Amino acid sequence: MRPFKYFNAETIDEAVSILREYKGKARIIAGGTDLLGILKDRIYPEYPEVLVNIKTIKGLDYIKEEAGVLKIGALTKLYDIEKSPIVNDRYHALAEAAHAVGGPQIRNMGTIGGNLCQDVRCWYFRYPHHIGGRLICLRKGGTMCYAMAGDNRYHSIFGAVGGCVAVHPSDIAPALIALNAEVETSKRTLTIEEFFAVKEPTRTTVLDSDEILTEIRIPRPAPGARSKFMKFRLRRAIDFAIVNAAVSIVVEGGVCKDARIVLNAVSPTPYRATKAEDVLKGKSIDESTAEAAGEAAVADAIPLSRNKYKVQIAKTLVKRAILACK
Amino acid sequence: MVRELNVVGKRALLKDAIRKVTGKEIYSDDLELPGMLYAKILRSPYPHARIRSIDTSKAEALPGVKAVITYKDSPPTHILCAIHNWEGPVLDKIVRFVGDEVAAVAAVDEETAEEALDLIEVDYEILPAVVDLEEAMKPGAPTVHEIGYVNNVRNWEAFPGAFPMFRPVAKRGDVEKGFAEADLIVEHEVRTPSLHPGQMELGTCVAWWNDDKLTLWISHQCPFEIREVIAKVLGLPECKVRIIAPTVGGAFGFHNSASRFLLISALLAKKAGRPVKYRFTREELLIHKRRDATIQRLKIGLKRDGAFTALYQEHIFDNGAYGFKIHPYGNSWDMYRIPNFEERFYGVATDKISSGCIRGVGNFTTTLGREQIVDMALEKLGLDPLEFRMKNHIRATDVPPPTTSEAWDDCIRKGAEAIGWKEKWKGFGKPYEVKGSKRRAVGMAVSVHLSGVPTLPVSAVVIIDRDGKARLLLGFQDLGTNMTTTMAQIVAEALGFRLEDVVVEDRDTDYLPYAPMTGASITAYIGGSVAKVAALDAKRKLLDYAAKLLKVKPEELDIKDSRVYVKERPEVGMKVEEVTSSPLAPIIIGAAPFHDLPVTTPALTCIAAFADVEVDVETGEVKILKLVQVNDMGQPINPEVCENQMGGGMHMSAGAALLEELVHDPNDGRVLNPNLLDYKEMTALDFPTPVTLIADNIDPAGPFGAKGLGEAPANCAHAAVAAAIYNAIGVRINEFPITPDKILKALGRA
Repeated sequence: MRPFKYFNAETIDEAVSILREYKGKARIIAGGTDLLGILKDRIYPEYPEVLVNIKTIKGLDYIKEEAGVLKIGALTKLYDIEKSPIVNDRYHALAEAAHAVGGPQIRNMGTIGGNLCQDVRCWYFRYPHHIGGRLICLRKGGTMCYAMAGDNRYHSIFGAVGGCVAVHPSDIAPALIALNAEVETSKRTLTIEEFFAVKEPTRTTVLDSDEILTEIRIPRPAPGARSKFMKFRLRRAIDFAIVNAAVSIVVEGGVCKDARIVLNAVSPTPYRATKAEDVLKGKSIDESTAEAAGEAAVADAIPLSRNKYKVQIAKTLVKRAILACK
Repeated sequence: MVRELNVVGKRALLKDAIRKVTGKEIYSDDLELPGMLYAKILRSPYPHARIRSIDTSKAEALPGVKAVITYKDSPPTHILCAIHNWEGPVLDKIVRFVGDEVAAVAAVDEETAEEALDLIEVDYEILPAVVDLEEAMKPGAPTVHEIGYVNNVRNWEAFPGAFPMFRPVAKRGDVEKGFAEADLIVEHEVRTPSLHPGQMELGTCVAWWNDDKLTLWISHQCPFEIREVIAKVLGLPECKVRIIAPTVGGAFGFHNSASRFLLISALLAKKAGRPVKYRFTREELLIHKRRDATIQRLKIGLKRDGAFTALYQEHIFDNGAYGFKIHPYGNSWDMYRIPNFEERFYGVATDKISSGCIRGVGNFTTTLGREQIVDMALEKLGLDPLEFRMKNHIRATDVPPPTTSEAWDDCIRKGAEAIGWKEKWKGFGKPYEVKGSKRRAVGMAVSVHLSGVPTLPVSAVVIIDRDGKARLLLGFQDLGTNMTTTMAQIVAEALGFRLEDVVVEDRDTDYLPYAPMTGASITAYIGGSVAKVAALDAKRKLLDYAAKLLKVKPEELDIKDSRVYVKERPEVGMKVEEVTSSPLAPIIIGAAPFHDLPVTTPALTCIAAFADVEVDVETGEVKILKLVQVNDMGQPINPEVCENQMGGGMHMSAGAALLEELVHDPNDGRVLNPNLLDYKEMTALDFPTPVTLIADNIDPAGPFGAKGLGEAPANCAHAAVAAAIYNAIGVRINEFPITPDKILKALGRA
């Protein structure tokens, strides 16, 4: 690691003003489970001059229901979400997603805000500087995606953003999209899908360099709504997803009235499988509609040289998550 | 054979257990010396390049930097560790893999050293590189090394001195004739990846020069061989180099050679005139050494009744940049009676990280290929996998005897019973249960490993101090395998002492007699034997003096529970401490200049493994439901130590079957997953509690009937898991690890 300044912010305003003062040379740290790896491996040529610790800001760690809306503070630990009775009761996919992150140590450090703001896991992007030199890929302003010509077994099956095929690794993001969440930042309110709608590979959210995520809000699901999160990974703990899927379905009179189906770890941004949603709407949920929805979810897949298997896994997870909501 | 053992064979408390679980054990990295500096190494960004020029002036000018070294500071003598490894000069003008050492800095702290690395300016001439194993062997491929290789294949003739007994071709009978006699011939190819052993401790070296004497505190497993190499490279007599290992937190063969970082630390300490500590980061550890990737091409010939007529095998072995293997140190004639056998071994240089010994060399990978092709042939002939193996394994009664003893039949019988083979075996390619997308099936395999090389020099000393306690001085190193407990049990048994009256001194070349590497599963068999010889020598001397005190003849005496007694009148005797502390008592020193084992017949350790797996054919996920392994290690010296060895080996083996793989970039060969998140070892959730069973056997040659159990436990479970997967899905996967992508592809779903 290299030396840097460290500020303990006490308010959002104070944190924002430090971010402004250091214009792009400051990074926010909360749980640190993603940032510390980036700093230790020195994967960027520039090193932050400043870390702004926001854990010292009071009142950003809560889970509460107000006026039919679940509100979660950005500093809420994943462990607390996983164990929350309200979340387990009505926002099942989110509880499952929180439980699926890393291992217990990570969930006791990592926050929901950090999970949404984390960077990609691409092994070219993350190659440690001290064992032969970092790779300046498209995400760092370079001219080449090493994964396209290299080993892309864990990369995108739904194309690139600005030429980069690294996938968005979050487990929380697809659950929140399935649950139709919105986020509050120090500047504005965004739907969760807008939050991730980046057009360039140099970032994973639309947050400006002086903007901080403060709250996640989820509307109370309609009566008869069910949700499910499933994650496929190589080991049963610690690992990031090869593919994950979150499904939220409203069934009325045995017929699917509404469905939100989201895949992640399959594309540079979380992937909303609208074609699969269309297949389900107006039909009863059974083995054959679920199967058809799974097929529809991957209808637009364009796998790379080494990751065709992810298409099969994505299809299966969608089918199984739908059936679990039955 | 019924014998009475008092200490050997007991579940004695492990001598290091309490220190380790309470966090009190001292490792090299815990060491701090006054004025100590910290080193960092600059590593190559290219897979193959020549350093045109290197400018270290800015790095040297950085405050806090005390020494910088490059190839210009490197002695010309190459690092060559007898039969293990060669690494070229300490620092070279040519770099041969991404991460290869270019220069090193010692500074007042690690951060300053790291900053200084950024200030070193290197002008590289980029050379053509080759990273693919098969590409490297083609004529016209870029050459990794200028001399000693033909198409990047190591040429045995060029290094005859280093390998008098190991040639790249192993031959017996006439394979062509054998295939002509066969009723069935099957051909097959198996590929295995680069693997990391996953030791917990990061390697650390502290180098300190006191005048002209160098002391190195390091994690290692061959103190005397390292001392020899370091002395040679630095032009010193061996007595001017002292190697100490405070404690080793896992070695697995990874630490059985004089790696460059040891000499880099020594050169920096010399140049700076201060002690230097160098420690790996986890990422550096993962690119330091590996188990070679292999391609194995096999051809088997069997008679209709299941007798072997021939086995031919090409074993293509990715040595990487500085790997040095020219022979697999273990092949299939150690397992089966094969009248006509030929194995051709190709040790291939590539511009990737070096291969070394990782828990053995060839048996681990050979087993995967051999057991798979055997099963393929048995399926075609309609033969039973258990019966075939019981019928065809080698026997101690074969002529000439291939092993001192073996117990495969017992291994197979016990394992089959524990897995429920009778109920669950439904035939090749047939699951015993199909539920939705899940298929369950069992599979099995057998394997073998050598208990050391009995021709290597070895010695031991047993001293009985005036307080009546015995100390074994043994130049082996406890790698975390509890050698210090098992050797104490052997010495206590031989002396007739209580276990608590014996301690084992390892760790320091200045005060220990010579021993070879703690590798090749050597310690229990050869180390145990030489320790026993030394203990019996000490016992004889002790009884000589005790006889004078008791006024009887020495042969009338014996020792039990640390008490000397008259055999005919057990009530007459005295405590050992009363003998040794009496006035005029001599200090008892038992010495063994060699062991008492046969040197022409090896002792082979037998293994059978059985796996019960569940495969999800929609996702390719494999769950190991149960894993059973039975080992024959002769008499277990300490059953608990044996079970630990087996459980650890099975974990390593199961990981290699399903998950573990160092992924190399196909273009520049760099390791893409140099961390324990992306290099996937099984967690407790992925690996079932291993069922470890011990076969009934007492070796006629080993100390108290024991054989080695270092490497063997990793050699078999992977093949059993692979066999079970085949039985579950009916498709053979010949490329390891068997990850979901390969299963889905084999099933036509990806």
